Amino acid sequence: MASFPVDILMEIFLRLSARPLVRFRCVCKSWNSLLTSPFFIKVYLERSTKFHKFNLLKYDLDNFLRVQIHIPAKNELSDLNTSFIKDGEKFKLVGSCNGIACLSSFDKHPFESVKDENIALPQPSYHVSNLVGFGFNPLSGNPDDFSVVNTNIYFEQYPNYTSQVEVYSFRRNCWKQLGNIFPPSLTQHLGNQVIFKNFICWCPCFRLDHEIVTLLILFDVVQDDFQKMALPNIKK
Amino acid sequence: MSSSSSSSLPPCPKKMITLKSSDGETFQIEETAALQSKTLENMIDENCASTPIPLRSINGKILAKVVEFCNKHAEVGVDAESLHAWDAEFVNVEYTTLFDYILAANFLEIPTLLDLASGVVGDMIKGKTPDEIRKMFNINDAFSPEEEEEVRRANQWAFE
Repeated sequence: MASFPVDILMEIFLRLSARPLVRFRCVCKSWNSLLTSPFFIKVYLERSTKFHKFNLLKYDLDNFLRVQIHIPAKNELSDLNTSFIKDGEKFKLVGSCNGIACLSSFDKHPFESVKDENIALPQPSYHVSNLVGFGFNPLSGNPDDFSVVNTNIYFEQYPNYTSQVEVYSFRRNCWKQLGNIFPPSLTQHLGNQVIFKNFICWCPCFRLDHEIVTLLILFDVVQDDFQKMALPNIKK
Repeated sequence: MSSSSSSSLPPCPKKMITLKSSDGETFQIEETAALQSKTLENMIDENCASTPIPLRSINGKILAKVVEFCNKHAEVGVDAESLHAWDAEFVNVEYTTLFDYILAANFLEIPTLLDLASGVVGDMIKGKTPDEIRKMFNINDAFSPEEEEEVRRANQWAFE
């Protein structure tokens, strides 16, 4: 067997989980370039989302959060393993992307959890309870290029405020300060996130001058920048 | 011409096609079993399967096993559990043979066999060290020790 055709290697790799694949990068140059190519990563993610489809169910009870994993193909329901969080310690689900859920406990470090594996991230500069987003850069060519967004907003005399935004890059394994870039929305409660391409999207709804305001806030994980968008004006 | 010789006349003659391996061996396979291969299906659809089909990349030993696999998976009335056990036995072979199965399944486009053999190889290698893998796959474009260390450092989380 002189050289192993690339498409055969692809077939084998596509059926493996991310951890061994990342380890295999140091096997040789050709494996490394295949495993880090945007093409392979795209096919891998497409296949994973097709064959290992699962839903995260979040139960927001009073003072208590429960997250379950539902696998539609088997109609199986199981609790997300949160044993790495101390008993009784509160945590929240920041978001999930490509099979990885990002949890944050209120006093401790944020976590990323893959099935039963979990990784603790370094402490951000600001309070972790303000972690708002978890996304993935689909253009970088790295399967582990995840970002976690932390925003702190300091309300001063209305309507003034300043924000401190920092982004953790899983690949660089560090927090990067982005400064006062949070778009004026007068709310820090962004709610549940939705991922669309390289954007983490929120649709917060809040009261301003006796009026309910709803808008769309996007964070671009490629540009590391926020964008604000008005929703279409739907008349009753 | 293939003149299959059954002792008693079957009620409906089964359509057979002939495959020829790289080392010249010929194998007869029922058309219904052959349809599991997209490559063969296309040839049947285009009426190119009336003469022996030459498969230059598959030797007789492997082609015999591939035909056996297709026949088993075309059998009617086999319950999922016993087919699963049969599959497990089928892939209980040396990894070099598994590589040949993958190559053949890829060429013939047999998704069930490709899935089975690739999955087994994946299970075999996922816990192996880079050194063991290099030996197994006969790899000779390894990194220098310094380069390897650098790649390892950049992907530290996967090694913990």
